Amino acid sequence: MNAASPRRAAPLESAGAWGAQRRWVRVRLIVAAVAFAGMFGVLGQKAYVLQVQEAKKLKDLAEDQYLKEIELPSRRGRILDRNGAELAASAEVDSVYVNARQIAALGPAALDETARALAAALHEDRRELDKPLASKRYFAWVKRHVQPEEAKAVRALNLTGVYLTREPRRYYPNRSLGGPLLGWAGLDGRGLEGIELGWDKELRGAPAEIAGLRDAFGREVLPGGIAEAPSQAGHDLVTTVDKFIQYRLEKALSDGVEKNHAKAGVAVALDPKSGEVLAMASVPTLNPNDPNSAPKGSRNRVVTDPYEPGSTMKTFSISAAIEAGVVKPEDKWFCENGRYAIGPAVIHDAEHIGNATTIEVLAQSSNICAAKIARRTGKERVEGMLRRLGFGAPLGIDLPGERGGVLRPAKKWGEVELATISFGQGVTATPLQVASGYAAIANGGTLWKPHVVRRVLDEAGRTVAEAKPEGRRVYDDKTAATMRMMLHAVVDKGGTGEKLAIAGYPAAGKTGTAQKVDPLTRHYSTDKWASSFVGFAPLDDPRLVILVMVDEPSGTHYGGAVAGPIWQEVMRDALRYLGVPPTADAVAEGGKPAPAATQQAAKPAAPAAPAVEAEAPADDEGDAAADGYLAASDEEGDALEIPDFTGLSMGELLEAARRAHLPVEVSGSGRVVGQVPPPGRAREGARCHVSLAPPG
Amino acid sequence: MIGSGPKALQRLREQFDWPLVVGCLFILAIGLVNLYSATRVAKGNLFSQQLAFLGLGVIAFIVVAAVDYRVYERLAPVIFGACLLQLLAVLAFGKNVNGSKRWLGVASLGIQPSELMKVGVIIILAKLGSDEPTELRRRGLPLVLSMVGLLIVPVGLIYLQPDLGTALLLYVIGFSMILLMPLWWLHKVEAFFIAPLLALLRLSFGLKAYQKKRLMTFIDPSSDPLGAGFHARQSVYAIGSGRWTGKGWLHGTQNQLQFLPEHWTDFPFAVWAEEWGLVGSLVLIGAYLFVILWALGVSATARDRFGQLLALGVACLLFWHVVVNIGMVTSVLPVVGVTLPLVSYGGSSLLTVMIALGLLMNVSIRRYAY
Repeated sequence: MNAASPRRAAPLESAGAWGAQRRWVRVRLIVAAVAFAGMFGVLGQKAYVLQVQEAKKLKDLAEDQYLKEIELPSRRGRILDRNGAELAASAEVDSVYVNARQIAALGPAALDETARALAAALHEDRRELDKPLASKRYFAWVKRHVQPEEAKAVRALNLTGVYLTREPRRYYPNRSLGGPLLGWAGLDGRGLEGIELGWDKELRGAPAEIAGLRDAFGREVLPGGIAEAPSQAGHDLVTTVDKFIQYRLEKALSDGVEKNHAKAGVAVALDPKSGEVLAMASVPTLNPNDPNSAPKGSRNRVVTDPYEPGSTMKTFSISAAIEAGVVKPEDKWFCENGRYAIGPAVIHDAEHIGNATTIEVLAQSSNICAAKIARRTGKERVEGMLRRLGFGAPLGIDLPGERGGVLRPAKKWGEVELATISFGQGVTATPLQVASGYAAIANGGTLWKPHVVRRVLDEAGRTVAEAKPEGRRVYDDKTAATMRMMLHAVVDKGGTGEKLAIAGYPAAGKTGTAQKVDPLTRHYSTDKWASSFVGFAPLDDPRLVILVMVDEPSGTHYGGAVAGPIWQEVMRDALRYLGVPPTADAVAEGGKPAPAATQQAAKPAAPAAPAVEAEAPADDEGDAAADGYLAASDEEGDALEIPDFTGLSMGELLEAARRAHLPVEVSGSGRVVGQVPPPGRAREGARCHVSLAPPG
Repeated sequence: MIGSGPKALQRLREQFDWPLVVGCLFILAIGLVNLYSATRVAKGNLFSQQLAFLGLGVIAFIVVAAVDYRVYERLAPVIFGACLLQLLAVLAFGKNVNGSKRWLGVASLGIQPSELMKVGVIIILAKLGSDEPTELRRRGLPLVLSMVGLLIVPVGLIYLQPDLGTALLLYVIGFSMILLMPLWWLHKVEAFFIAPLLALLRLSFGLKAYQKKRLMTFIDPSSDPLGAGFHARQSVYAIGSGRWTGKGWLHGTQNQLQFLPEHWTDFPFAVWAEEWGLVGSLVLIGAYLFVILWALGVSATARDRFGQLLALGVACLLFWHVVVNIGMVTSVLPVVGVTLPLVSYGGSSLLTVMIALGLLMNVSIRRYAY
């Protein structure tokens, strides 16, 4: 450490006593140097211990506090219609969050100022902002998915501790179109209903998790920027839905529901050759852009709500007989002129039909003869056919929440139940099940599993997965052809749907007017109906099966009058839209060139309605016989007015009976579920047998 | 003999102590590179301020080095007195920052007299210890006690600010100087007993709450993770995660994400160690050791006793600053606000170190003069 220098010797040695002390001092300095170097050695050793020996542990500890898995919400895949039109898409929008700690550190005045400024910029109530601001958290959402001008305002404020981030937001460009079918995705990009839920995995894709950094104030810092993260967009779905048909079906249905002051309505259009769902509508509908304001009861009823199909079920019970070969279309039946006792119950037809062929039984919708046919077929055969058609269990459509309806096993069926099931009471099915069954008849006997998604596409548009139609034979070709012929008779002259014929497109279908069971009394209500029509066209090569059901219409409730015109309108427009050529004779006969016709929706439907009404009572009364099956045959003169006791409690019943001067025999307890004779006129001196059952 | 004017500058040029200056410039360069990284995220303007302080420091260095140190020997009581007056002034009129009065300021410009006091103490102790050895021995214990007394006065004043770290640092700088002086060992042993007694008395009269806390967290750093212990812990995390070669300049996460508290003043070593690893740590520690040993070498070859003690004092100043700062940053010592010479941000600290280095240069260039 001594700087060697040739110049130093002489002057220093001459310094006398100072020189003598020098060596002594130098020894001290050497001691000091050694001590200092030793201390530095300790520092170096400590650095070695920290940076090498304990480095791993310390690094992990350090990383624990700043490394953070940041889940980058992946862009959710689009939902497209079969032609590529967007039904749901995602866009990046701004969301506002605060670092409440950072703001709190500025003092209460700043906190107040921040809340005030933010409230103004975001058009929010100040009190709404207190929660995130008072949260004492490093990260708290203030408002997600803000409007562009709101984001701009917040950015302009440039407030400490207030941040904006980009989040993908789901939007549905067609607003409520297909709302209940599409469902919606929540703020965090998870599907919550409908296709969005059922296909969530595909749509969401793999969310990209990247290692982010968090600074000492809890702010997220991405050292490499977002670009570093692998973009893991979800897959696009090409659905089977046709936007045009969906629109037509939805529009006609909601107009029809409104016109009939109905509670709800459902409609579905299927491609009978593949089971593809071309359209699926439920009223009340919802706007998935704003699911919070969805009206009560808006759900995809086509798959979630089984109902009693009523007369539309006759097709299937009769098809069992045809398939089994026990009944021929030309077979003659005696329809008992409208009243027929089966064991303790009486079945009614509204129209007093005498002799009828099997074809006429279906065309005029005779409950009595449907029951007779079912009896000849045998309950095992009827059940077997219904089960093969998919009743009693979900069909397995690629949508969430599908239900299968109730079909009790045949060995539990009594004579009466066999009869009622043959005309669609005492059995429930979803609209989808009924429509699928008609599709099987339409396509020559194959029951396709219905589906709404055709293809799954990756970001580059390559097909990742494709739906393969799954089907099973349920009918012989011949049976299906026979049934098509018979269903055509329904919309032909003399059928319950004769006014529903479409010029140029020979069609086939069936009306249904089912009394609904009151959920309170578990008894068939007299004023709640499910009016439906299901059919397909063109007859020789059906392209479309459409089912329309209007739930609880007020006033007219006959299926042919309520649901029929909706069906007719949509079927005609859809066939034209699909470019299905009309028959030559129809063009000549009708005088109207159908494909070129301006699409006037309501006009042809309006004149059809009164005509349908005229034939409807047969259907109506037939379905009303649902009540009849509970009633024992007890016929006499008609001089007494028998009130409707259904739903009354014991006390109310006795009071009502006293006022009607009607003697009653009561069995059971709870609320009235049935009465014999049914409401109406009865012979003087009649007694009324009333049965009660506990509610629920 | 006493240099003045152009002659002094000529001597400065001719006898220029290149190894000392290169060593100091090397550390200064590290300091600036590190300060840039440390202040990049949070306090961008500190870097340019530090450049201004450095300019001031270089001027101070040249002036202090140019004037023959024997002038300082004669003026020692005046210099020391001036520093004491500043300390008194700070207690009377000082700016109160974070509960203690450490700054004497005009407008936004401020100076910490406690920093300059270190130079004052070095000069006055060098003056007292520069008598003939026989004379020193004759004066014996009273001399040692008067030295300790002179040391205790500024230490006490700084303690009253209160600034425990600087007070203790000044105390050890002064005491290590006394220890290395050619005085009779028995007297020093006696003084040794007196001083710790005084220190004990101080402790028993109570430390400030935050001072106790700092001592406690030194004993158990995990006891108060978000309080005082937080600093020590974050600093150790930073150093540890630097590993062998560091994360690279501007890439220290502890630093850039602001987990390191006051990393531009008290914790620059942690920033450096995180970004440059063990290699960087050892290079910096080695550079300091080189300068300090060089200072001891200057002391050993100084022309006279005053120069010898002056160089020794500067060596002690540098040594204790480095040891206490790095010791604190590596959790060997408790967290006390002691700067890392030439690397920490801060005008007073930089100016003081530059003056001290000027004194060292002064002694160095006059070693072989006659």
